[in-house]
Amino acid sequence: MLRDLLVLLAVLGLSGGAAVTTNLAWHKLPWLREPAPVVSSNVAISTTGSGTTSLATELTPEILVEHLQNGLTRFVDAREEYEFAKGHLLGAINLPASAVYASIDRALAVISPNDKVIVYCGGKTCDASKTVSDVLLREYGYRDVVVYEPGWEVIGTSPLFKDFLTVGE
Amino acid sequence: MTIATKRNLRSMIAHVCAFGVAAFFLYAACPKIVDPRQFRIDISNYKILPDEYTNLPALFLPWLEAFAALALVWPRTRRAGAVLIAGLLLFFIWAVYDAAIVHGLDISCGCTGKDSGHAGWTTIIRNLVLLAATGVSVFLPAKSSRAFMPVVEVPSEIASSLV
Repeated sequence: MLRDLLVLLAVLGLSGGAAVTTNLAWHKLPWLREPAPVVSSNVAISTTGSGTTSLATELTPEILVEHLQNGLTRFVDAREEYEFAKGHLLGAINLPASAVYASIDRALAVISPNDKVIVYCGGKTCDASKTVSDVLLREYGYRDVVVYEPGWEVIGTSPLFKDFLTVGE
Repeated sequence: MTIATKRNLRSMIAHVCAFGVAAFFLYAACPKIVDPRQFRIDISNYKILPDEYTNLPALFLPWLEAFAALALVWPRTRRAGAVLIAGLLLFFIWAVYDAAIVHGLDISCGCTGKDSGHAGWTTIIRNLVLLAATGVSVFLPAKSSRAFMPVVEVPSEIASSLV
């Protein structure tokens, strides 16, 4: 019994020591994360057809279509690779939340930190888009990242997007 | 089947279970040790801890999984390893149940790093199987030694001659 307790404490101690050592020597992560920065992103494109600035505060499907048409906004699909392969927005870059760091080069290669980025995932119940948006904002210096919360649930079914989709097998 | 054969069989089953669980835990720990940032995201998705504190378990838990797995392999440290592994599995089962079943979150389970699959009933059942195997690795040999070890009274004169 005493030996079991000592082994248990030894395993806990070794784990803590290994975690501290590898972090100091290799990962260099902060022990505590700083609170997320407050970013004021403008969801609407700069001007509407009439030349007046849009006052929209919520990213609606109609505003998303405007972004797709203007060709300046970058889209990031935060769903898994197999979901992306089944269908996605034209020109969207796949950055799955489950492998965001392994796939980040795809985004870094084509999206500059000053670009407007819209991230979407499966729908309102998924957090992948928020996760990817958080990583882009906090760790890679992107300044204008917005989450389209309705996600693929709306994009994949709404007739508004039928000209902007790539559908796989 | 003789008593010795039964005991050997039980002992072998216990070893296989211990090695199986340990292998799974080592396989699960390696990618998380290499990339704790990704594991932090998986922890954060469960919404158990405030986001500020998610780096600590992301750095510590994979090493705990690895060392507990190693403790499970060696028979002399197996009980302590099994306690830790069982504790981790019970915690993971609760976390998956709370996040995916109770709160309906559509999240990656984060069990084995990249491509872990979604958290849900499959994850819970797999963890229950691992928990059962951990129990077998500890309790099966002990039970067999009690059940199959015959109690023989040795006459004192024979016992003294053996010493």
